[in-house]
Amino acid sequence: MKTYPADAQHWINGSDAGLKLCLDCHKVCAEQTERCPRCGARVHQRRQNSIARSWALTLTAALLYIPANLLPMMTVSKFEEGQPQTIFSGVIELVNHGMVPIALLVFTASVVVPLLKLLGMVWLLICVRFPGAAMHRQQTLYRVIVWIGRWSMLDIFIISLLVGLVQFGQLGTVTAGIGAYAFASVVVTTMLAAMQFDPRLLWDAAEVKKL
Amino acid sequence: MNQNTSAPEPARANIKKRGNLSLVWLLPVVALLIVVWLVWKSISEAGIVIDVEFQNGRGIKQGKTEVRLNGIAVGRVTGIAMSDDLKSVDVTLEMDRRMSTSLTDKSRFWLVRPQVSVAGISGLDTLVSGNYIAFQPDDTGIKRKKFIALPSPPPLGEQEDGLSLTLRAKELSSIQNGSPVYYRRLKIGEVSSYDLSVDDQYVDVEVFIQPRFAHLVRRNTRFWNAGGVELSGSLTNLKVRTQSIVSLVQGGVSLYTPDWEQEFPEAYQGDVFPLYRDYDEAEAGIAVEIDFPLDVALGQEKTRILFHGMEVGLIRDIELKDDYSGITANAVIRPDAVNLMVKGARFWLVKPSIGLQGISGLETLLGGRYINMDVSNKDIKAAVPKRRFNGLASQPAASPSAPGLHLKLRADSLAGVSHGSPVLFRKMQVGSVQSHELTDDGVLIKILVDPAYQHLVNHSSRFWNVSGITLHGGLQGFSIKAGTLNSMLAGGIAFDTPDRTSGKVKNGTGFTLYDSTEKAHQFGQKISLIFETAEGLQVGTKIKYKGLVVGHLTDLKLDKQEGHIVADALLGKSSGWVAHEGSRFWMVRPRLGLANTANLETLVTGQYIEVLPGSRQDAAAKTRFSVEMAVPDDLPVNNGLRLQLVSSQLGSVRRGNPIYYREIPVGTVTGYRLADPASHVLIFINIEERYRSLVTSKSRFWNASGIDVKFGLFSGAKIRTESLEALLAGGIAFATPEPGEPVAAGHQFTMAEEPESQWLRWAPAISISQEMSH
Repeated sequence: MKTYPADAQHWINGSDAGLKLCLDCHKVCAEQTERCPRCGARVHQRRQNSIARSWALTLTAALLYIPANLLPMMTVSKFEEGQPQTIFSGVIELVNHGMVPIALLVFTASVVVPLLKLLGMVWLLICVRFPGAAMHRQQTLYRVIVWIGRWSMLDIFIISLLVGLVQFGQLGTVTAGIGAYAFASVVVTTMLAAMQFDPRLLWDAAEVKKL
Repeated sequence: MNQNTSAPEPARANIKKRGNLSLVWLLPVVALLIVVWLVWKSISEAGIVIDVEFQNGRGIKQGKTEVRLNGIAVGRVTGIAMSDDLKSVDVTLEMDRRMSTSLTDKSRFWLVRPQVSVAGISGLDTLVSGNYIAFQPDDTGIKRKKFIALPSPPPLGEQEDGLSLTLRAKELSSIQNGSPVYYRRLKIGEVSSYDLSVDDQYVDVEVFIQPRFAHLVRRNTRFWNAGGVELSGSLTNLKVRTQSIVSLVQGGVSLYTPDWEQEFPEAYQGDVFPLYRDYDEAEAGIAVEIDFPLDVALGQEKTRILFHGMEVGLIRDIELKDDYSGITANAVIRPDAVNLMVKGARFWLVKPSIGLQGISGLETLLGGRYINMDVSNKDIKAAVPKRRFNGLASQPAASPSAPGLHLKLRADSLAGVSHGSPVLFRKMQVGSVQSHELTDDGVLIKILVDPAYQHLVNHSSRFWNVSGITLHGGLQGFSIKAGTLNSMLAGGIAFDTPDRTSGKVKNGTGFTLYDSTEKAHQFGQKISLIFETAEGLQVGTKIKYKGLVVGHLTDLKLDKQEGHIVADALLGKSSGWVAHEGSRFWMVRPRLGLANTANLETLVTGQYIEVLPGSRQDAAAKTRFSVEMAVPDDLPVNNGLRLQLVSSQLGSVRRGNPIYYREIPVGTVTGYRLADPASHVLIFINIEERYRSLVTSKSRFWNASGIDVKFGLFSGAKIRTESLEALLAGGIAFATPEPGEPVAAGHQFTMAEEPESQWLRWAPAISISQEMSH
């Protein structure tokens, strides 16, 4: 509250100005415009059902997060001896082998980040529902969530690489486990949830709060 | 999307703010379903945690070591901890939930480690994958969660689904743990363990047959020790056998199921089989015991048993009977010869022997002695199984099944005939003597005539002994008879078949074996002669007619009731005509006397019986005659003139005294008899045929015995006698006054004591040549 300058009060909504923004190419369009004259995307004042969709996708992601962590991501077989590895068992194994930094990386990328994304989405959605004072901070959180989403596919990327590359017959193979599908689903659904979230709603929430 | 908003009311656009239930909410629902399903699945498939106590935890890694069932992981070690007493290791296992019903107190765990031994490498997979814990489930026990692992892997057969068998051997030989079990030199299993049997008498070898080969083992399958190199056979038939180099080193067991017994059921788990020492022992299957007498030197084991030259079995071992009364040979008979092991089968030892019939059993010199066996077709058909036999020391008579004609000959004595003696037909061997045995009244000889010659025997056949040398003879000559040289030395039997058209004989027909060919060929008529005494008589005493042998005695018997001797006599082939009513028989014996010596030849040739056939040709046949002990008095010695002299005294007249005419003997006294009534003496004389005409009804007879001495004073002494012989032995003289009609036979004259002087002067001219010409 205090950190923001007083001129925040001079903010003008796009709707107030009779304008709307193309969320795809960020062109400012007239209010009556149906489609973006530049990129042809549909232009909305506010995304319809944005909150509901975000909620649904976030919930889906949260649910899928459970099997993604409990079920084996991949099975690495050496000489026919294979033990399905969950994310966490993989991390433990890395630690056991003394590769703590990598373990931390994997842990962060595979466990912490998706979890934080989910929590962040939930936080944003709650903030929209219950408008608070410092909504501009949520704006930053949203950007972080969107930005980090593309990196969440790291695990799946590695797994798909391994599965594709390590097929040495009986000597060693890597096969993806059902956890990988769940994990990929978590990533995709969190990204979709973030995309479905209309950040302008934060402004509306801030407006409501101000009023 | 809101379904309701898509259907706007035509009146006014009233946008309802209804429950904004979007399709997107399907996603979390689906996700929820997935999660629920996954959670349920993971819970339902969560492992069962059990504790297993190991003696040591060598090679067990937490989280790594697997529990395997038939090579499939069914569990994993989740924790290792020392037991409280530090003597064992408690291993926590997480078992597959599907094993829940198999975790009972009968289930077993053991650690599989790589093992390298001569018998091979086991658990090689553990070199790469690490040790693992083997699990053998058993659903039948009581469920539990704590187990104690086996200290070492159980025998192979118990680990897997294969067939576990016990082989009972006399000695372990080169078998060791892991020794292979071969079927047609393919390894199908291995020896899992061995131990002494409960009674310490055998070695029990446990073998494990892999499941896919289990059907090869049947109840009649034979196992034998295939280890090492096996040399068997004899000089003529050496066999070297080995299964493989591996078995050479580490021993092995081979098995084989005879083709001819494939219908036997498959073996069951835990069946006990004998483990034979070698292939030969195993091959022959049926155990048979043969009892041999002690004097049969069987000598060696592995004596073969041959049936018509084919090997049907083998003597496996020989043992003395408990009472030392004989030898019991344990034989194994090839299963395909089982049909021969029936009642009636005979076994005998064949050993080399050199005899008059040649060298027999020569092959045994090289091939070793063997046991021959024989069984008749009849016995095979009867098929009374027998497993214990009596062996013979030598070859028995050919079995009735042997081809050829089997005949029985009855003889009084064996007389040189022995086993193997030839049976000759026209001095050609057509058969042989098979056996001989004593009977109540002689000897029974069994012969076998070769099939090619059996048509030579029929009901008319006659058999006689040709053994040795037959020497017949006497002062009248010798005859030596022998069969062949072979039969002379080894004995032999000859036969002849006079009538080829006679009926055929069957096997077992009996014949009489005659002592000689003569006896065999006497086909004449049999008659009975009755004697007062058998003195000087013997079987073979000849019956003669005019010096020609017409028959002989074949038997002498005492008729106890009548007290006389009855002799059976056989008349020659063409001499039957003498056996007629009116024929007379008498003994001819040597006679020695001062004045009367006769029949001297009988001293050498023996007494004989003279026969005089009845004169009437149409007389009835007769077979029973009484034999007079001397020549009948009233019979002519030759075809002379029989006369009777009547005398008051016999004087010095004796049988055989000559009858003189002009001091020339023309006849003899054939006998004398007291007349009936006994007022005088009848003297039978016989005048030779050519002097027949000298006797007329007017002839005068006087006693010419003694010396007629006349004394005269001036004439001195006159001594007159018929002859010196008459002086010694006496005699009868006669004179005839004039020629006349010859008298008929049997005419009676009166004998004067002394001749009248005129009788001595009678000198009629009687022609004797004329008479002879008649």
